[in-house]
Amino acid sequence: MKKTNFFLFIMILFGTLSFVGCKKPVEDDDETKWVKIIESYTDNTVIVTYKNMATNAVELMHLCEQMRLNPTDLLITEACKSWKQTRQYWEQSEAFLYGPAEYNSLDPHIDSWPLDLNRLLQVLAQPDILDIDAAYVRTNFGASLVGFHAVEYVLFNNGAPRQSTQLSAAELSYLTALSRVLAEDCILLEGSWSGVEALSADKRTILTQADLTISSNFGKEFKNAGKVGSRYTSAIQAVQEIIEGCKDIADEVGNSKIADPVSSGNVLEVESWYSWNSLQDFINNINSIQNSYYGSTTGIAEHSLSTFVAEKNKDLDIEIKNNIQNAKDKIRDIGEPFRNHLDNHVGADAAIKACDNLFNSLQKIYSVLD
Amino acid sequence: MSNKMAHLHFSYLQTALFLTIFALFIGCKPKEVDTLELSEEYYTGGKNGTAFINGSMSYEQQASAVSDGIAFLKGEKLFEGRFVEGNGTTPFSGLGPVYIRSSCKDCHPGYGHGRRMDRYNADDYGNGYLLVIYDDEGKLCPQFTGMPQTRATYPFLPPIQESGIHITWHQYVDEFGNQYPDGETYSLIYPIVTIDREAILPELRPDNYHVAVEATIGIYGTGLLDAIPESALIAEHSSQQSRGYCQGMSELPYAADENGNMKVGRYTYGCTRSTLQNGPGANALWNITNVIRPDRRYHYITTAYAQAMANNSNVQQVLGWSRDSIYNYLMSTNLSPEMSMKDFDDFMVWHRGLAVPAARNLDDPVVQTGKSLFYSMGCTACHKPSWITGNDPHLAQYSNQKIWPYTDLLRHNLAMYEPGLRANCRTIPLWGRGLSKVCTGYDEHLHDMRARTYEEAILWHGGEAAASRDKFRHLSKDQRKAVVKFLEAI
Repeated sequence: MKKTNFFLFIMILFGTLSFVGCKKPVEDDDETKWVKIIESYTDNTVIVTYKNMATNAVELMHLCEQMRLNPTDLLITEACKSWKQTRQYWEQSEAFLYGPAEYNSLDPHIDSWPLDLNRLLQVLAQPDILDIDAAYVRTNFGASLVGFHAVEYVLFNNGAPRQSTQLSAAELSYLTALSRVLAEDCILLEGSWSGVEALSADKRTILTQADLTISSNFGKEFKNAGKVGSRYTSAIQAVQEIIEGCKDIADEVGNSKIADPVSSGNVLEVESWYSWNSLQDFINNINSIQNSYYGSTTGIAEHSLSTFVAEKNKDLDIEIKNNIQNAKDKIRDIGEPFRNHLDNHVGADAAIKACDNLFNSLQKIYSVLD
Repeated sequence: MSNKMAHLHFSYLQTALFLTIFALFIGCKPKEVDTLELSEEYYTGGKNGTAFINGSMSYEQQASAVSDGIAFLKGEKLFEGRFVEGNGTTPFSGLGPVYIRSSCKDCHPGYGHGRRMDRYNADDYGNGYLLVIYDDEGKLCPQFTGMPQTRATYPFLPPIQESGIHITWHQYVDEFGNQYPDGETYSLIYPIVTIDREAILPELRPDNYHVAVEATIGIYGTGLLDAIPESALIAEHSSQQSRGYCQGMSELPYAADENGNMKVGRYTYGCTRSTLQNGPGANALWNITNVIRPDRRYHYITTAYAQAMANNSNVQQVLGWSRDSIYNYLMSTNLSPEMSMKDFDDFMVWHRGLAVPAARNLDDPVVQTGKSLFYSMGCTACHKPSWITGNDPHLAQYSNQKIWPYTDLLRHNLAMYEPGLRANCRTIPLWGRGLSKVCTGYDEHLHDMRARTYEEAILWHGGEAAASRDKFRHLSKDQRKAVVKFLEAI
């Protein structure tokens, strides 16, 4: 759900003019705080999340490569754990899907849904499937045949790791290629925010091997909001981006991801068909809001939206924190796996309401951005 | 959901009150507030159709006029989702048998316009190009659907292999040697699009053909354009004719609405669609994907293609169907729906309800200079700044709104070099385009995205707009920048 925000618009419109015209120290202090909030958010939330995701994706890729040589039950279990770890960080990034995830087409390539199962089965039946590699997949297959859900299809069945004897040579071949494409995309996402120079040597090597390049540093541009060269014309515009990203995913989790399958009772509307991981995905979406609000993945940063809000309105900060925790609790209370609890309407309604409350409290942040 | 909207509605009084408090807080004199009050031009989509979000999600906002937020969200999901093969029994299934794209958003990255591309691949996110294949007389080749398809579900074959489609970009030197009177130089590029004859199914190869590409534009605000009275369009056309515009187009184009009644065309580059309910988006949900719905129980397909597939021995063998069975299936008008009307209705709630981003920085002196120049150069002759909507039977709160799309919704000839089939092209709305780089990451213009900047777009304006372009060329560098600043602001 998208909402208009006239209040903040006025702020952006006239706030800057006022700073220029009046030069009040208090306002300058707030502007400085916004810049520091953006910096901490970029470095300690966004880039850290993407870094963790890419690191786990590389590990998943190596596990899949080992599996192709020797597919044991133990390796599959390890790969499934690695998939869930990588997925965790992806879901924790859904409050900031703007920028490179959109501009560089990485969001659809990493997490398109649903999987085109009919076509995937045709791919697996291709005569040359055993010779397929990541470059071929990247060049020839679209978003509905790659990414998390394609990897999930090969690794999981009915919410559990598949047995090694169930995996065909074709599936192992495709999985190896798929996991490398996923790792490459995750590295691209990390590097597009951090700058290529900040990537580890092994990640840079993976990109080089795939002939993939990173030409921008969106994190730097975002932190430079209001300065020449940034598409963000003011610091508060970037702060707004953070808040809107949080609101958007709060709304989507409650009123779409949870509400739609519960309303229809159709398990196929639950995103993770094979791992049955969706409830954790939802909780991690809320964690994405928490990490954005806290300006860090490891607690409340010194310069964060949370500290800023607390300084202006302590009760609101407490309300938001409580609503974040409540949303996670209520989602968890629906019962896992989500696809087996679609008849828990009371639990789902409570979770949807908790997400709505979180949305509404996040909206109130605008009232203290003066 | 409606409770969420309530606190977001602000009246002028509240605005003025807030600005007063704000100004007092920072120590400015209250009287300065008067100059800061929002003018009506900030409300690009009127009071009920403008979104006050200035960021990456500016094109995705729900207008306050929309009361059914759940339907809006479900419609949004259809736009963002990806259709897959299947018979409609699983989510998003029903793609094919022959299709153009699998997701609406692929052509509208960030809900905006398509990107300028160096190749044609339906899997490339952001490739909003549609092929236009036409003969020597400028008529669409009947072997292909109006929007030609390049993908098919197995065992059917795509009418055109994408590997045989070539988009090349070429430098163009205009009559001024790509130089302003003040000596500054610029570059212009244009596309040449070809399709190898061998890339077309043998049965579909036309005797002669030319190819062009046309890009998608943003979706926001199209519901408000729908609410402009037809009488106002007719009056505007009449006015333009009397002033020497719309040359050679004395007759307005008409197109059937959703009930089969002929109305003045206002959508697409050729003004070939008259209403939103039967407009480009409503049609695209069906003809881009070929997902069948109750009101369209047939494929978007040509007879030539159906015959080719029916005669194909591999298709017959894989399906185990006779020639006639394949042909009858492809040409059937009684197919089982793969999408419900409720889905389509939700999609239209979303489509109609997408708000327009509010204008920005209109009080900036440079922007004001640019605005003054934009008007004095005659740009507004075609980029008509505002309209008043009529009574909207679909969305009551869109009625009687003053909106600022900067288009006359009429076709003009810009005498563009290698224009493809769009020598006469509808004036593209300018509202919200200044946010494109934030929303989509890209910022190109014109029907084939040949203009890489606003400035290049203006410089491609010949023909009916040549006089305005020439005035722009004779501006100082700072004045030219001011014009662009204004365009970025609206």
